[in-house]
Amino acid sequence: MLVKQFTIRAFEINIESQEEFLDFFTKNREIIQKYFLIINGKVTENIKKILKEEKILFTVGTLKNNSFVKNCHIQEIKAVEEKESKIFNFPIRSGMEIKSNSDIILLKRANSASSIQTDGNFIALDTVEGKVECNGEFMFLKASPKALILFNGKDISSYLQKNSFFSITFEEGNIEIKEFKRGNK
Amino acid sequence: MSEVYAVISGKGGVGKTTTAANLSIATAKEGKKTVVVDFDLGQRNLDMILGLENRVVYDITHVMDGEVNIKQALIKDKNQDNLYFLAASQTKDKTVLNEEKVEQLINMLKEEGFEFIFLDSPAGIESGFEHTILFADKAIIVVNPEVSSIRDSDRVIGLVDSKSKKAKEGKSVEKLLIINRINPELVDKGEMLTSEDILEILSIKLLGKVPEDKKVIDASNKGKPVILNPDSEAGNAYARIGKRLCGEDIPFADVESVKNQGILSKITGIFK
Ligand SMILES: Nc1ncnc2c1ncn2[C@@H]1O[C@H](COP(=O)(O)OP(=O)(O)OP(=O)(O)O)[C@@H](O)[C@H]1O
Ligand SMILES: [Mg+2]
Repeated sequence: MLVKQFTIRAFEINIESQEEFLDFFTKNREIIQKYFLIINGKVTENIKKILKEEKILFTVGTLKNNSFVKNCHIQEIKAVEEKESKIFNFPIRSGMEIKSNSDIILLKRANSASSIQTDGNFIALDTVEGKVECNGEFMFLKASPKALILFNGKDISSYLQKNSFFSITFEEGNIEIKEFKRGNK
Repeated sequence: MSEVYAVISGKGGVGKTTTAANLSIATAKEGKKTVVVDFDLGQRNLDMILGLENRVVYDITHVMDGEVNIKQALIKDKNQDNLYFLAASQTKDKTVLNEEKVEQLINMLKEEGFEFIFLDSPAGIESGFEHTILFADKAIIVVNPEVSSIRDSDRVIGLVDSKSKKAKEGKSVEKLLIINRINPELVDKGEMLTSEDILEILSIKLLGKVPEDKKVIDASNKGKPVILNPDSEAGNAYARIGKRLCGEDIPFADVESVKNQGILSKITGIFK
């Protein structure tokens, strides 16, 4: 027997009208394509056909109250609507908490006992000493040895134990960590 | 022009009251009409450090409740021109404070023509703390060079940025850092955070560095703040800070290097 474990990124979508769904779909096609869809409501023949054409996997039902939800990553639809990146030009101090669906750019430090969570990408131009949970596709940061850095559910802090910037990417389930050196292409 | 300085910290016991007492004497000595207010209700001890404990008849709550006027409650320091003190209540606790009363009190002090109004705050984790930052123009953050003190003050700086009235009006409260109890021997051995480290983490303006000095405790016990002792390193540091607050450009003295240890230790040093 062969057992494989996957972490699936999914959207749970409530379809109230076909028209509304198709409109949403055309606007956000690029993002939706990378996700598994869990659809609530009526999946009309038309919707089925389009999803098939776009090779998007879906199922009908809901994950709410399901015990396995805890283990998989569910991205809310808000993520698609709120795409603009957020720029912070002040230090993120101890006790501050940021939760976001958009890309986050820090121009100043994130201090010990601060917490940042985003489903978008994360870029920090000064040292990060707090906790960062990023579920996006890209991170760029310099972490202090005290920092806790989680990228798509994995604790990668121990790979960043160096006083330099790292660029980290998430592609097809693989995490790639590269030390950033001036002149790097 | 009145300026309200809240003297605050994250953790308790880092030297807020010591700082408030000494800085108020420092600015008074510079000829500025100064008042220092004990906002640490239920835990008053600024009166002792200033040596004024036996002169407290009325306190801050009597004024806020309208029982006496501000002039009756202000205690004039007989040994120091320009210096006044307003005591905290020892019996009532912090729950008697509310935003409106605090604002009224601060306005009364401004009307009395004080140029410097220092508020000695309770530690940032305690209730009553938010009242001292509410109407402050500037915050003096006192830290000790150790990680827990730094992290707690970092949180408190965040509170100043979000909770003060000025911040809510979109203006900013100037934040000034005092690093207190610097121990040169520990810095030398690398066992203490350096000022550079602390400034990098907190990213606020440095107001002064005060060394660890046994004379501070002795001074508090005698009710004669250490700034009045010209032989005290800490006292001299406070005097320099006072001058900076009055707009003088005083360079930061080196309080971090181990002082000349005399001939004997120099000789032993050679044979190490
Ligand atoms: N530079 C210094 N050198 C030596 N001792 C000091 C120094 N500064 C403060 N102390 C001592 O540290 C103790 C605490 O100081 P202080 O009461 O001023 O702190 P605080 O921050 O006001 O405390 P609380 O949070 O309880 O109000 C006192 O015993 C004081 O004498
Ligand atoms: Mg105190």
